[in-house]
Amino acid sequence: MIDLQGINKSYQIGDRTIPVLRDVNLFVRQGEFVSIMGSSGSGKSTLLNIIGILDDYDSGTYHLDGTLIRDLSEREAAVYRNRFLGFVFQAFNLLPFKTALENVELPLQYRGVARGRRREMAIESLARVGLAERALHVPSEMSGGEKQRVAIARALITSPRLLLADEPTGALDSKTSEQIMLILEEANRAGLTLIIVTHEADVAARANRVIRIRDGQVEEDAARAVSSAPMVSP
Amino acid sequence: MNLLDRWREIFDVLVRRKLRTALTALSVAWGIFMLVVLLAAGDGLATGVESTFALNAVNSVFVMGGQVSKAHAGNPIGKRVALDAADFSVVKRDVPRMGAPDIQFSPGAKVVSHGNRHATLTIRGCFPGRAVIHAMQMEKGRFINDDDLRERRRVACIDSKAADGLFAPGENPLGQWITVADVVLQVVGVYEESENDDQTNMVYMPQTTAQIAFAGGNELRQIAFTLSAAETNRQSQLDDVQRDLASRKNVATDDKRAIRIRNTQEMFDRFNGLFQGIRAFVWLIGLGTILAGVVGVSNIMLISVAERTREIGVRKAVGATPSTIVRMIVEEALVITCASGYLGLVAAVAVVNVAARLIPKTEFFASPQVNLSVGLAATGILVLAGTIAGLFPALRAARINPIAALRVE
Repeated sequence: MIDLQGINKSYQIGDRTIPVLRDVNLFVRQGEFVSIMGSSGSGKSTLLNIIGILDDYDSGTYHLDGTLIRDLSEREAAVYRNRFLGFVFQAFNLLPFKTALENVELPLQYRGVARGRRREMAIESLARVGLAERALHVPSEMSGGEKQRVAIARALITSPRLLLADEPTGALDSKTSEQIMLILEEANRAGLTLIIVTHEADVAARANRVIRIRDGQVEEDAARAVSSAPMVSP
Repeated sequence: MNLLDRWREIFDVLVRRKLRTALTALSVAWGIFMLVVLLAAGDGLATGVESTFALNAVNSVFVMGGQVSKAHAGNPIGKRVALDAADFSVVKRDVPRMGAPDIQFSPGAKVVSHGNRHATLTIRGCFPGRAVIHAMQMEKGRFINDDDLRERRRVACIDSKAADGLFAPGENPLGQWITVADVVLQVVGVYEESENDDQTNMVYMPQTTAQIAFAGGNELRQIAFTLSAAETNRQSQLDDVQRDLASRKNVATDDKRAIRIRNTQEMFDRFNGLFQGIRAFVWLIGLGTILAGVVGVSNIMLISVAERTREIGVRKAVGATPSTIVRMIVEEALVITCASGYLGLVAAVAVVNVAARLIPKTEFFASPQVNLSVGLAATGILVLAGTIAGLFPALRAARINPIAALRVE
């Protein structure tokens, strides 16, 4: 599914070059649930951006589902994102003036799906995260957990091969976090490849595999037995 | 994204930012309004003055005696200069290809009678060219002709207002005899009274007849003729006339008040130039105002793009291509400029129509109107302006990096 080989990435700040990723190799199989951990500045978000075709890399190769992702035009990148990927962010990133339904529809709109069909699929997707009855509310009328569920519904509506979540529970309390994780795990069980960037150990612990990034390198790549233990509430 | 979706998005944004939209729209609407109203005013000015000129053949030249304004060869300032038949010969020599020559002998106002009806009318002896130079429209009969002139016939051509005074309603003036002082003339024609007061309450008779009948000596009121615009050395011919007549009358060659030469073609050209200047000026102002509007729209779109950085980032993350984003912003700008510009255009047309009805027609201003070409030009400008206004913000929006936009603040 994901095959990263010798990825290097550095940023230019003034006349200094700051290496962010150094020779990262990572292979993720279809249907895996991987969490990426690391302190801030470790390069974990950059890695996620590269996987999400939101950012370029300097050297190495990245194959997504057998396709080499390299030097894509913005247009191609947008098409690949729309076709293969779903995103969930810490800050939800819903469009504030649109209802939950319209937010969920957005990726389909860019895919050119007809309005009626779009609406049907969006309602279905909202129902999947348990928010069918909130479809016509705008984000400002929803709680953080509800917003994140809408964001997940939006990410899932295109039936992506891969869902990338950047601190999906970072802005939520533990009870709501548990809800969100259950939804994500369910999607994963249904065959979706799931990559979560987090610094919360209990979230990371739910993955089959935890990857620790430190100073731009993979420090530890530990496969675990599938954990069914409930999250410990404080 | 299909068309309907795009329009819904644009409408959404515009409604969401009502105040912003209204202010932007106002600047563009004002620009178009100003441009169209000013152009219509310029049009009214041109129509007014052109209709005034239409009273005379545009290519006529008038030569008149005036008063000495520069002491010369013993002639003091203020001395009257009178033209005579010999001067006409000189003018004819200097301007060999003159058309419609007309010399006027003016005995002045006299009481004219027909039966027991009397009127005080201005008597003029003239040439047939008079009718050409003043673009007279005959209502009945004919004007003075060459035979009248040669044979010194006792005939007269009067204007319709004079005819109303001399003849009973329904009476046909043609062939009737009128008495001017003690001279009897037969009416051969009636011309339409015009807006030019100089042409009303008049009795025209052959110059030759008048000269004898009223013993006026040789003095001519004016010498007039037409001079084709195709004539290449018009000005030098007229300069010759000025010089020769000046030397004959012993006045300074450059004394333009002693020998007065009025060239309507020249004035017409000057007015035309003036109107072109006014028109260019109006376009300049109008375009400037529109440009200010466009800069305003562009500016506000830039702010809007900055405000919507995160939104645009989200759109890109879920699959919006750069061209979709560019199109979204450009179309938004286009909708604002076109809709508001159209409102400005409609308001301007309404104002111009009301003004055309309320402002009385004068010799300087008549029937202002918004013609089709102005409307089309305004529409073209709007579309162009809207595209330009949207393009820069749109390109900036397309360059927004989704990662930066989505970073937690």
